[in-house]
Amino acid sequence: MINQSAEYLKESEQISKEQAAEPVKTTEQSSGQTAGPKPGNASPGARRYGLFGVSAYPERQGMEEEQRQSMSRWAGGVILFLMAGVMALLLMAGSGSKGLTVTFDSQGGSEAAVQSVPFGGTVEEPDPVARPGYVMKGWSVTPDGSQPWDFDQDTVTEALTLYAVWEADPG
Amino acid sequence: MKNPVNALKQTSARYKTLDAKDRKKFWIDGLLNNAIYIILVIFLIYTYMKNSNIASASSAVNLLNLVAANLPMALGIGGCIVLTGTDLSAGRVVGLTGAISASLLQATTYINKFYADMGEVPIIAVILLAMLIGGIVGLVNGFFVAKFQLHPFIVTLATQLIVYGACLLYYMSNGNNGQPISGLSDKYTNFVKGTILPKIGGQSIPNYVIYALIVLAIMWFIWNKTPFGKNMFAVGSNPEAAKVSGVNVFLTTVMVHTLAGITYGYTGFIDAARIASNTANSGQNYESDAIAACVIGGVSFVGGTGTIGGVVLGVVLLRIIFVCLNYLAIDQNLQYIIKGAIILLACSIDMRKYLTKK
Repeated sequence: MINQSAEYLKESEQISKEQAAEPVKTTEQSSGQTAGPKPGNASPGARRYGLFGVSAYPERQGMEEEQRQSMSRWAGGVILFLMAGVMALLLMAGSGSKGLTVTFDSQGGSEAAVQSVPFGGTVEEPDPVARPGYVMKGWSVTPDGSQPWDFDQDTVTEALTLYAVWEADPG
Repeated sequence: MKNPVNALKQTSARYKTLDAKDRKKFWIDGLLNNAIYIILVIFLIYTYMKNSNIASASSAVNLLNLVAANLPMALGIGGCIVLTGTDLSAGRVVGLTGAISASLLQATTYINKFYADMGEVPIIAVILLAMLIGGIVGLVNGFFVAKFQLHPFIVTLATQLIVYGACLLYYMSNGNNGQPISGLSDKYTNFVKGTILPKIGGQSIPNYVIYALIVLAIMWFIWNKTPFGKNMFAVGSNPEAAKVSGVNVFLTTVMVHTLAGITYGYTGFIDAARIASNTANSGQNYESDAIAACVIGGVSFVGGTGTIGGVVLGVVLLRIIFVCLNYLAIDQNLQYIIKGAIILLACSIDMRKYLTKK
Protein backbone atom coordinates (compact mmCIF):
# COMPACT_ATOMS: atom_id res chain seq x y z
CA MET A 1 0.00 0.00 0.00
CA ILE A 2 1.18 3.46 -0.78
CA ASN A 3 2.05 5.63 2.11
CA GLN A 4 -0.38 8.48 2.33
CA SER A 5 1.99 11.21 3.32
CA ALA A 6 5.28 9.87 2.08
CA GLU A 7 6.97 13.24 1.82
CA TYR A 8 5.80 14.33 5.16
CA LEU A 9 7.01 11.13 6.77
CA LYS A 10 10.41 11.28 5.09
CA GLU A 11 10.83 14.67 6.62
CA SER A 12 9.79 13.47 10.04
CA GLU A 13 11.97 10.36 9.82
CA GLN A 14 14.98 12.54 9.09
CA ILE A 15 14.25 14.53 12.16
CA SER A 16 13.91 11.34 14.16
CA LYS A 17 17.26 10.10 12.84
CA GLU A 18 18.92 13.31 13.89
CA GLN A 19 17.29 12.91 17.24
CA ALA A 20 18.19 9.25 17.47
CA ALA A 21 21.80 9.86 16.44
CA GLU A 22 22.89 10.61 19.98
CA PRO A 23 21.36 7.60 21.79
CA VAL A 24 22.42 5.21 19.00
CA LYS A 25 26.07 5.91 19.74
CA THR A 26 25.62 5.13 23.39
CA THR A 27 23.89 1.84 22.59
CA GLU A 28 26.71 0.79 20.29
CA GLN A 29 29.19 1.45 23.04
CA SER A 30 27.20 -0.45 25.58
CA SER A 31 26.30 -3.37 23.29
CA GLY A 32 27.26 -6.59 25.00
CA GLN A 33 26.75 -4.99 28.36
CA THR A 34 23.42 -4.55 29.98
CA ALA A 35 21.77 -1.42 28.72
CA GLY A 36 21.33 1.26 31.32
CA PRO A 37 17.92 2.71 32.03
CA LYS A 38 18.69 5.86 30.07
CA PRO A 39 15.70 7.49 28.41
CA GLY A 40 15.44 6.72 24.69
CA ASN A 41 17.98 3.92 24.98
CA ALA A 42 16.41 1.66 22.37
CA SER A 43 18.15 -0.74 20.00
CA PRO A 44 20.12 0.91 17.14
CA GLY A 45 17.97 2.66 14.58
CA ALA A 46 14.85 1.51 16.36
CA ARG A 47 11.74 3.54 16.39
CA ARG A 48 9.19 3.19 19.06
CA TYR A 49 6.28 1.57 17.30
CA GLY A 50 2.95 3.20 17.73
CA LEU A 51 1.94 5.31 20.61
CA PHE A 52 2.05 2.65 23.19
CA GLY A 53 5.58 1.32 23.39
CA VAL A 54 4.10 -2.08 22.62
CA SER A 55 4.43 -3.11 19.01
CA ALA A 56 1.91 -5.30 17.25
CA TYR A 57 4.83 -6.73 15.29
CA PRO A 58 8.42 -7.44 16.34
CA GLU A 59 11.11 -4.81 15.91
CA ARG A 60 12.34 -5.37 12.36
CA GLN A 61 15.37 -3.12 12.38
CA GLY A 62 16.84 -4.62 15.50
CA MET A 63 16.42 -8.15 14.21
CA GLU A 64 19.22 -10.30 12.78
CA GLU A 65 18.79 -11.10 9.09
CA GLU A 66 18.75 -14.83 9.86
CA GLN A 67 16.06 -14.46 12.49
CA ARG A 68 13.97 -12.35 10.16
CA GLN A 69 14.19 -14.93 7.40
CA SER A 70 13.33 -17.76 9.74
CA MET A 71 10.30 -15.85 10.98
CA SER A 72 9.11 -15.02 7.48
CA ARG A 73 9.49 -18.70 6.48
CA TRP A 74 7.31 -19.59 9.47
CA ALA A 75 4.79 -16.95 8.42
CA GLY A 76 4.75 -18.47 4.92
CA GLY A 77 4.05 -21.89 6.37
CA VAL A 78 1.27 -20.53 8.55
CA ILE A 79 -0.31 -18.80 5.54
CA LEU A 80 -0.29 -22.04 3.53
CA PHE A 81 -1.67 -23.99 6.49
CA LEU A 82 -4.51 -21.50 7.07
CA MET A 83 -5.31 -21.37 3.36
CA ALA A 84 -5.59 -25.13 3.23
CA GLY A 85 -7.60 -25.17 6.46
CA VAL A 86 -10.11 -22.56 5.31
CA MET A 87 -10.63 -24.33 2.00
CA ALA A 88 -10.95 -27.76 3.62
CA LEU A 89 -13.59 -26.36 6.01
CA LEU A 90 -15.44 -24.79 3.09
CA LEU A 91 -15.51 -27.98 1.03
CA MET A 92 -16.41 -30.12 4.02
CA ALA A 93 -19.19 -27.84 5.22
CA GLY A 94 -20.37 -27.00 1.72
CA SER A 95 -20.84 -30.62 0.70
CA GLY A 96 -22.62 -31.52 3.93
CA SER A 97 -24.99 -28.56 4.10
CA LYS A 98 -28.57 -29.03 2.96
CA GLY A 99 -29.66 -25.45 3.41
CA LEU A 100 -30.73 -22.91 5.98
CA THR A 101 -32.89 -24.19 8.79
CA VAL A 102 -36.32 -22.67 9.19
CA THR A 103 -38.00 -23.64 12.44
CA PHE A 104 -41.60 -22.96 13.35
CA ASP A 105 -42.63 -21.90 16.83
CA SER A 106 -46.36 -22.41 17.09
CA GLN A 107 -46.50 -20.52 20.44
CA GLY A 108 -48.79 -22.98 22.19
CA GLY A 109 -50.35 -24.61 19.12
CA SER A 110 -49.61 -27.97 17.49
CA GLU A 111 -46.14 -28.60 16.09
CA ALA A 112 -44.92 -27.81 12.55
CA ALA A 113 -41.93 -29.60 10.97
CA VAL A 114 -38.53 -27.94 10.51
CA GLN A 115 -37.57 -27.11 6.89
CA SER A 116 -34.22 -26.79 5.10
CA VAL A 117 -34.28 -24.00 2.54
CA PRO A 118 -31.44 -23.02 0.14
CA PHE A 119 -30.18 -19.44 0.42
CA GLY A 120 -32.54 -17.15 -1.48
CA GLY A 121 -35.31 -19.77 -1.61
CA THR A 122 -38.87 -19.45 -0.34
CA VAL A 123 -40.35 -21.30 2.62
CA GLU A 124 -43.10 -23.82 1.97
CA GLU A 125 -46.16 -22.99 4.03
CA PRO A 126 -46.46 -25.67 6.73
CA ASP A 127 -49.63 -27.68 7.30
CA PRO A 128 -52.11 -25.67 9.37
CA VAL A 129 -51.43 -25.72 13.09
CA ALA A 130 -54.21 -25.63 15.65
CA ARG A 131 -54.66 -24.16 19.12
CA PRO A 132 -57.90 -24.61 21.04
CA GLY A 133 -59.77 -21.37 21.59
CA TYR A 134 -57.69 -19.39 19.06
CA VAL A 135 -57.78 -18.52 15.38
CA MET A 136 -54.53 -18.59 13.39
CA LYS A 137 -53.64 -15.21 11.89
CA GLY A 138 -50.47 -16.25 10.11
CA TRP A 139 -46.73 -16.66 10.58
CA SER A 140 -44.41 -13.86 11.58
CA VAL A 141 -40.66 -13.26 11.97
CA THR A 142 -41.26 -11.70 15.38
CA PRO A 143 -43.12 -13.34 18.28
CA ASP A 144 -45.50 -10.36 18.55
CA GLY A 145 -46.55 -10.67 14.90
CA SER A 146 -45.22 -7.26 13.87
CA GLN A 147 -43.45 -8.63 10.75
CA PRO A 148 -45.71 -11.13 8.96
CA TRP A 149 -44.02 -13.66 6.65
CA ASP A 150 -45.22 -13.84 3.06
CA PHE A 151 -44.69 -17.43 1.87
CA ASP A 152 -44.92 -16.43 -1.80
CA GLN A 153 -42.65 -13.38 -1.73
CA ASP A 154 -40.20 -13.53 1.19
CA THR A 155 -36.90 -15.32 0.65
CA VAL A 156 -34.62 -16.84 3.26
CA THR A 157 -31.24 -15.20 3.76
CA GLU A 158 -30.40 -16.64 7.20
CA ALA A 159 -31.53 -19.41 9.50
CA LEU A 160 -34.74 -18.19 11.09
CA THR A 161 -37.68 -19.03 13.30
CA LEU A 162 -41.23 -18.20 12.28
CA TYR A 163 -43.78 -17.63 15.02
CA ALA A 164 -47.46 -18.45 14.81
CA VAL A 165 -49.70 -15.45 15.49
CA TRP A 166 -52.97 -16.21 17.31
CA GLU A 167 -56.10 -14.26 17.96
CA ALA A 168 -58.58 -15.32 20.67
CA ASP A 169 -61.57 -17.01 19.05
CA PRO A 170 -64.63 -14.85 19.73
CA GLY A 171 -67.06 -17.69 18.98
CA MET B 1 -3.28 5.15 -11.55
CA LYS B 2 -1.03 2.60 -13.28
CA ASN B 3 -2.22 0.92 -16.42
CA PRO B 4 -2.76 -2.73 -15.43
CA VAL B 5 -1.70 -4.02 -18.88
CA ASN B 6 1.56 -2.09 -18.73
CA ALA B 7 2.15 -3.23 -15.17
CA LEU B 8 1.68 -6.84 -16.29
CA LYS B 9 4.10 -6.31 -19.19
CA GLN B 10 6.68 -4.84 -16.83
CA THR B 11 6.28 -7.77 -14.45
CA SER B 12 6.75 -10.30 -17.25
CA ALA B 13 9.82 -8.44 -18.53
CA ARG B 14 11.27 -8.45 -15.03
CA TYR B 15 10.40 -12.15 -14.66
CA LYS B 16 12.45 -13.03 -17.78
CA THR B 17 15.56 -11.53 -16.24
CA LEU B 18 15.30 -13.63 -13.08
CA ASP B 19 17.31 -16.80 -12.56
CA ALA B 20 15.78 -20.11 -11.48
CA LYS B 21 16.02 -19.47 -7.75
CA ASP B 22 14.50 -16.01 -7.98
CA ARG B 23 11.73 -17.34 -10.21
CA LYS B 24 10.79 -19.88 -7.56
CA LYS B 25 10.75 -17.08 -4.99
CA PHE B 26 8.59 -14.98 -7.34
CA TRP B 27 5.92 -17.68 -7.47
CA ILE B 28 6.01 -18.44 -3.74
CA ASP B 29 5.74 -14.74 -2.90
CA GLY B 30 2.91 -14.39 -5.38
CA LEU B 31 1.05 -17.32 -3.82
CA LEU B 32 1.53 -16.15 -0.24
CA ASN B 33 0.87 -12.44 -0.78
CA ASN B 34 -2.30 -13.14 -2.75
CA ALA B 35 -3.61 -15.95 -0.53
CA ILE B 36 -6.83 -14.05 0.22
CA TYR B 37 -7.56 -13.45 -3.47
CA ILE B 38 -6.88 -17.10 -4.29
CA ILE B 39 -9.26 -18.22 -1.55
CA LEU B 40 -11.83 -15.74 -2.84
CA VAL B 41 -11.70 -17.10 -6.39
CA ILE B 42 -11.96 -20.70 -5.18
CA PHE B 43 -14.89 -19.75 -2.91
CA LEU B 44 -16.69 -18.06 -5.80
CA ILE B 45 -16.19 -20.95 -8.23
CA TYR B 46 -17.22 -23.55 -5.65
CA THR B 47 -20.28 -21.54 -4.60
CA TYR B 48 -21.33 -21.03 -8.21
CA MET B 49 -21.12 -24.78 -8.78
CA LYS B 50 -23.30 -25.44 -5.75
CA ASN B 51 -25.81 -22.60 -6.03
CA SER B 52 -25.84 -20.71 -9.32
CA ASN B 53 -28.12 -18.05 -7.78
CA ILE B 54 -24.99 -16.20 -6.72
CA ALA B 55 -24.46 -14.92 -10.27
CA SER B 56 -27.64 -12.86 -10.30
CA ALA B 57 -28.65 -9.22 -10.02
CA SER B 58 -30.23 -9.79 -6.62
CA SER B 59 -27.00 -11.28 -5.34
CA ALA B 60 -25.01 -8.29 -6.61
CA VAL B 61 -27.43 -5.82 -5.00
CA ASN B 62 -27.34 -7.85 -1.79
CA LEU B 63 -23.54 -7.58 -1.81
CA LEU B 64 -23.73 -3.83 -2.46
CA ASN B 65 -26.12 -3.41 0.47
CA LEU B 66 -23.92 -5.39 2.83
CA VAL B 67 -20.85 -3.42 1.79
CA ALA B 68 -22.70 -0.14 2.30
CA ALA B 69 -23.82 -1.25 5.75
CA ASN B 70 -20.33 -2.29 6.89
CA LEU B 71 -18.15 0.29 5.19
CA PRO B 72 -18.53 3.34 7.48
CA MET B 73 -17.48 1.38 10.53
CA ALA B 74 -14.45 -0.12 8.80
CA LEU B 75 -13.41 3.41 7.77
CA GLY B 76 -13.62 4.49 11.41
CA ILE B 77 -11.64 1.55 12.75
CA GLY B 78 -9.14 1.99 9.91
CA GLY B 79 -8.04 5.26 11.52
CA CYS B 80 -7.40 3.50 14.83
CA ILE B 81 -5.35 0.81 13.08
CA VAL B 82 -3.30 3.48 11.29
CA LEU B 83 -2.32 4.61 14.81
CA THR B 84 -1.23 0.96 15.46
CA GLY B 85 -4.22 0.61 17.75
CA THR B 86 -7.57 -1.06 17.40
CA ASP B 87 -11.10 -0.59 18.71
CA LEU B 88 -13.01 -3.40 20.33
CA SER B 89 -15.90 -1.25 21.56
CA ALA B 90 -17.28 -0.68 18.05
CA GLY B 91 -19.89 -3.44 17.92
CA ARG B 92 -21.38 -2.62 21.30
CA VAL B 93 -21.56 1.08 20.47
CA VAL B 94 -23.55 0.11 17.38
CA GLY B 95 -25.85 -1.94 19.62
CA LEU B 96 -26.43 0.93 22.07
CA THR B 97 -26.91 3.70 19.51
CA GLY B 98 -29.11 1.37 17.48
CA ALA B 99 -31.31 0.72 20.50
CA ILE B 100 -31.59 4.43 21.24
CA SER B 101 -32.39 5.30 17.63
CA ALA B 102 -35.02 2.56 17.39
CA SER B 103 -36.68 3.47 20.69
CA LEU B 104 -36.94 7.14 19.71
CA LEU B 105 -38.30 6.44 16.24
CA GLN B 106 -41.04 3.88 16.89
CA ALA B 107 -44.38 4.31 15.16
CA THR B 108 -46.71 6.42 17.32
CA THR B 109 -49.40 3.75 16.91
CA TYR B 110 -47.19 0.86 18.08
CA ILE B 111 -48.59 -0.78 21.21
CA ASN B 112 -45.38 -1.68 23.03
CA LYS B 113 -43.84 1.73 22.43
CA PHE B 114 -40.66 2.34 24.43
CA TYR B 115 -41.47 5.99 25.21
CA ALA B 116 -45.24 5.66 25.26
CA ASP B 117 -46.08 9.35 25.68
CA MET B 118 -43.59 10.77 23.25
CA GLY B 119 -44.73 12.16 19.92
CA GLU B 120 -42.78 12.13 16.69
CA VAL B 121 -39.07 12.91 16.94
CA PRO B 122 -37.34 14.45 13.91
CA ILE B 123 -35.05 11.89 12.23
CA ILE B 124 -32.20 14.35 11.90
CA ALA B 125 -32.15 14.88 15.68
CA VAL B 126 -31.91 11.14 16.27
CA ILE B 127 -29.08 10.61 13.81
CA LEU B 128 -27.18 13.46 15.43
CA LEU B 129 -27.84 12.03 18.89
CA ALA B 130 -26.60 8.59 17.81
CA MET B 131 -23.43 10.12 16.37
CA LEU B 132 -22.97 12.22 19.50
CA ILE B 133 -23.21 9.17 21.78
CA GLY B 134 -20.79 7.24 19.57
CA GLY B 135 -18.49 10.25 19.55
CA ILE B 136 -18.51 10.48 23.34
CA VAL B 137 -17.49 6.83 23.70
CA GLY B 138 -14.76 7.43 21.12
CA LEU B 139 -13.65 10.52 23.02
CA VAL B 140 -13.29 8.49 26.22
CA ASN B 141 -11.32 5.82 24.33
CA GLY B 142 -9.09 8.44 22.76
CA PHE B 143 -8.51 10.29 26.03
CA PHE B 144 -7.29 7.20 27.89
CA VAL B 145 -5.19 6.05 24.95
CA ALA B 146 -3.55 9.42 24.39
CA LYS B 147 -3.22 10.73 27.93
CA PHE B 148 -2.00 7.61 29.69
CA GLN B 149 -0.53 5.89 26.62
CA LEU B 150 -2.56 2.80 27.43
CA HIS B 151 -2.86 0.25 24.69
CA PRO B 152 -6.25 0.73 22.93
CA PHE B 153 -6.83 -3.00 23.28
CA ILE B 154 -7.26 -2.56 27.03
CA VAL B 155 -9.08 0.77 26.93
CA THR B 156 -11.61 -0.28 24.31
CA LEU B 157 -12.11 -3.65 26.00
CA ALA B 158 -13.18 -1.72 29.10
CA THR B 159 -15.46 0.66 27.21
CA GLN B 160 -16.90 -2.30 25.33
CA LEU B 161 -18.04 -3.78 28.64
CA ILE B 162 -19.33 -0.46 29.93
CA VAL B 163 -21.30 0.23 26.76
CA TYR B 164 -22.71 -3.31 26.72
CA GLY B 165 -23.84 -2.88 30.33
CA ALA B 166 -25.46 0.44 29.46
CA CYS B 167 -27.15 -1.19 26.48
CA LEU B 168 -28.57 -4.03 28.62
CA LEU B 169 -29.81 -1.52 31.19
CA TYR B 170 -31.43 0.50 28.43
CA TYR B 171 -33.31 -2.56 27.21
CA MET B 172 -34.48 -3.25 30.78
CA SER B 173 -35.55 0.34 31.41
CA ASN B 174 -38.98 1.93 30.92
CA GLY B 175 -40.75 -1.36 31.60
CA ASN B 176 -39.36 -2.84 28.39
CA ASN B 177 -37.88 -5.82 30.31
CA GLY B 178 -35.29 -6.73 27.71
CA GLN B 179 -37.81 -7.18 24.89
CA PRO B 180 -36.66 -6.48 21.32
CA ILE B 181 -37.36 -2.94 20.13
CA SER B 182 -39.33 -3.07 16.89
CA GLY B 183 -42.36 -1.41 15.30
CA LEU B 184 -40.31 1.40 13.80
CA SER B 185 -42.04 4.36 12.21
CA ASP B 186 -42.50 4.29 8.44
CA LYS B 187 -40.66 7.58 8.07
CA TYR B 188 -37.54 6.12 9.67
CA THR B 189 -37.71 2.84 7.73
CA ASN B 190 -38.23 4.73 4.47
CA PHE B 191 -35.40 7.13 5.26
CA VAL B 192 -32.98 4.20 5.55
CA LYS B 193 -34.44 1.37 3.48
CA GLY B 194 -36.65 3.26 1.04
CA THR B 195 -35.34 3.94 -2.39
CA ILE B 196 -34.95 7.00 -4.59
CA LEU B 197 -32.56 5.35 -7.06
CA PRO B 198 -33.76 3.59 -10.21
CA LYS B 199 -33.99 -0.19 -9.94
CA ILE B 200 -31.14 -2.37 -11.19
CA GLY B 201 -32.26 -5.68 -12.67
CA GLY B 202 -35.57 -5.45 -10.82
CA GLN B 203 -33.77 -4.91 -7.51
CA SER B 204 -34.25 -1.68 -5.60
CA ILE B 205 -31.20 -0.11 -4.01
CA PRO B 206 -31.87 1.25 -0.53
CA ASN B 207 -31.01 4.81 0.46
CA TYR B 208 -28.33 3.78 2.93
CA VAL B 209 -26.11 2.93 -0.04
CA ILE B 210 -26.19 6.64 -0.95
CA TYR B 211 -25.42 7.63 2.65
CA ALA B 212 -22.49 5.19 2.69
CA LEU B 213 -21.12 6.89 -0.43
CA ILE B 214 -21.43 10.27 1.30
CA VAL B 215 -19.60 8.92 4.37
CA LEU B 216 -16.95 7.45 2.06
CA ALA B 217 -16.44 10.83 0.37
CA ILE B 218 -16.18 12.63 3.72
CA MET B 219 -13.69 10.10 5.09
CA TRP B 220 -11.64 10.24 1.89
CA PHE B 221 -11.47 14.00 2.22
CA ILE B 222 -10.48 13.79 5.91
CA TRP B 223 -7.75 11.20 5.32
CA ASN B 224 -6.24 12.77 2.23
CA LYS B 225 -6.95 16.48 2.19
CA THR B 226 -6.90 17.74 5.75
CA PRO B 227 -3.96 18.45 8.08
CA PHE B 228 -5.66 16.13 10.57
CA GLY B 229 -5.41 13.25 8.07
CA LYS B 230 -1.73 13.91 7.42
CA ASN B 231 -1.10 14.14 11.15
CA MET B 232 -2.85 10.81 11.66
CA PHE B 233 -0.44 9.05 9.30
CA ALA B 234 2.54 10.86 10.80
CA VAL B 235 1.57 9.81 14.34
CA GLY B 236 0.86 6.24 13.22
CA SER B 237 4.18 6.00 11.45
CA ASN B 238 6.35 7.48 14.18
CA PRO B 239 4.74 9.36 17.06
CA GLU B 240 7.99 10.76 18.41
CA ALA B 241 9.05 12.17 15.06
CA ALA B 242 5.56 13.57 14.61
CA LYS B 243 5.77 15.27 17.99
CA VAL B 244 9.13 16.80 17.08
CA SER B 245 7.69 18.14 13.84
CA GLY B 246 5.02 19.95 15.80
CA VAL B 247 2.08 17.55 15.52
CA ASN B 248 -0.23 17.52 18.51
CA VAL B 249 -0.14 13.77 19.15
CA PHE B 250 -2.66 13.93 22.00
CA LEU B 251 -5.26 15.81 19.99
CA THR B 252 -4.74 13.68 16.87
CA THR B 253 -5.19 10.44 18.80
CA VAL B 254 -8.31 11.70 20.57
CA MET B 255 -9.76 12.93 17.30
CA VAL B 256 -9.11 9.67 15.44
CA HIS B 257 -10.94 7.72 18.14
CA THR B 258 -13.76 10.25 18.30
CA LEU B 259 -14.19 10.12 14.53
CA ALA B 260 -14.29 6.33 14.75
CA GLY B 261 -16.95 6.60 17.49
CA ILE B 262 -19.05 8.87 15.27
CA THR B 263 -19.00 6.28 12.48
CA TYR B 264 -20.22 3.63 14.95
CA GLY B 265 -23.06 5.91 16.01
CA TYR B 266 -24.01 6.40 12.39
CA THR B 267 -23.84 2.63 11.79
CA GLY B 268 -26.08 2.07 14.82
CA PHE B 269 -28.68 4.46 13.44
CA ILE B 270 -28.67 2.75 10.01
CA ASP B 271 -28.50 -0.76 11.39
CA ALA B 272 -31.47 -0.32 13.71
CA ALA B 273 -33.72 0.34 10.71
CA ARG B 274 -31.93 -2.20 8.53
CA ILE B 275 -32.51 -5.17 10.84
CA ALA B 276 -35.84 -3.73 12.14
CA SER B 277 -35.94 -5.85 15.32
CA ASN B 278 -33.25 -4.74 17.77
CA THR B 279 -32.02 -6.80 20.69
CA ALA B 280 -29.19 -6.28 23.16
CA ASN B 281 -27.05 -8.55 20.98
CA SER B 282 -27.36 -6.32 17.90
CA GLY B 283 -23.95 -5.24 16.71
CA GLN B 284 -22.10 -8.02 18.47
CA ASN B 285 -18.77 -8.85 16.81
CA TYR B 286 -19.14 -6.13 14.20
CA GLU B 287 -15.69 -4.88 15.15
CA SER B 288 -14.06 -8.18 14.18
CA ASP B 289 -15.44 -7.90 10.65
CA ALA B 290 -14.33 -4.30 10.38
CA ILE B 291 -10.81 -5.01 11.68
CA ALA B 292 -10.48 -8.00 9.35
CA ALA B 293 -11.61 -5.89 6.40
CA CYS B 294 -9.02 -3.22 7.20
CA VAL B 295 -6.18 -5.73 7.51
CA ILE B 296 -7.18 -7.47 4.27
CA GLY B 297 -7.30 -4.05 2.60
CA GLY B 298 -3.71 -3.29 3.58
CA VAL B 299 -4.21 -1.05 6.63
CA SER B 300 -1.23 -2.51 8.43
CA PHE B 301 -0.84 -2.94 12.17
CA VAL B 302 2.70 -1.66 11.63
CA GLY B 303 1.08 1.76 11.62
CA GLY B 304 1.06 4.71 9.29
CA THR B 305 -0.02 2.77 6.21
CA GLY B 306 -3.39 2.36 4.59
CA THR B 307 -5.69 3.98 2.09
CA ILE B 308 -9.42 4.55 1.87
CA GLY B 309 -9.42 2.53 -1.36
CA GLY B 310 -7.78 -0.34 0.48
CA VAL B 311 -10.45 -0.32 3.19
CA VAL B 312 -13.20 -0.39 0.55
CA LEU B 313 -11.47 -3.28 -1.21
CA GLY B 314 -11.10 -5.13 2.10
CA VAL B 315 -14.77 -4.71 2.98
CA VAL B 316 -15.84 -5.90 -0.49
CA LEU B 317 -13.54 -8.97 -0.40
CA LEU B 318 -14.62 -9.98 3.08
CA ARG B 319 -18.30 -9.52 2.20
CA ILE B 320 -17.95 -11.64 -0.95
CA ILE B 321 -16.50 -14.44 1.19
CA PHE B 322 -19.38 -14.14 3.70
CA VAL B 323 -21.98 -14.01 0.92
CA CYS B 324 -20.48 -17.22 -0.47
CA LEU B 325 -20.74 -18.84 2.96
CA ASN B 326 -24.39 -17.78 3.09
CA TYR B 327 -25.15 -19.08 -0.38
CA LEU B 328 -23.63 -22.40 0.59
CA ALA B 329 -25.88 -22.24 3.69
CA ILE B 330 -22.91 -23.08 5.88
CA ASP B 331 -23.67 -23.44 9.56
CA GLN B 332 -23.40 -20.11 11.43
CA ASN B 333 -21.11 -21.64 14.07
CA LEU B 334 -18.68 -22.85 11.44
CA GLN B 335 -18.75 -19.40 9.83
CA TYR B 336 -17.18 -17.96 12.98
CA ILE B 337 -14.29 -20.41 12.69
CA ILE B 338 -13.75 -19.49 9.04
CA LYS B 339 -13.91 -15.76 9.90
CA GLY B 340 -11.31 -16.21 12.64
CA ALA B 341 -9.02 -18.18 10.35
CA ILE B 342 -9.31 -15.47 7.70
CA ILE B 343 -8.35 -12.76 10.21
CA LEU B 344 -5.27 -14.78 11.26
CA LEU B 345 -4.45 -15.36 7.62
CA ALA B 346 -4.70 -11.66 6.74
CA CYS B 347 -2.47 -10.74 9.71
CA SER B 348 0.09 -13.40 8.75
CA ILE B 349 0.26 -12.05 5.20
CA ASP B 350 0.61 -8.48 6.47
CA MET B 351 3.34 -9.59 8.90
CA ARG B 352 5.22 -11.56 6.27
CA LYS B 353 5.20 -8.61 3.85
CA TYR B 354 6.57 -6.43 6.62
CA LEU B 355 9.33 -8.91 7.52
CA THR B 356 10.51 -9.45 3.96
CA LYS B 357 10.35 -5.75 3.08
CA LYS B 358 13.78 -4.50 2.09
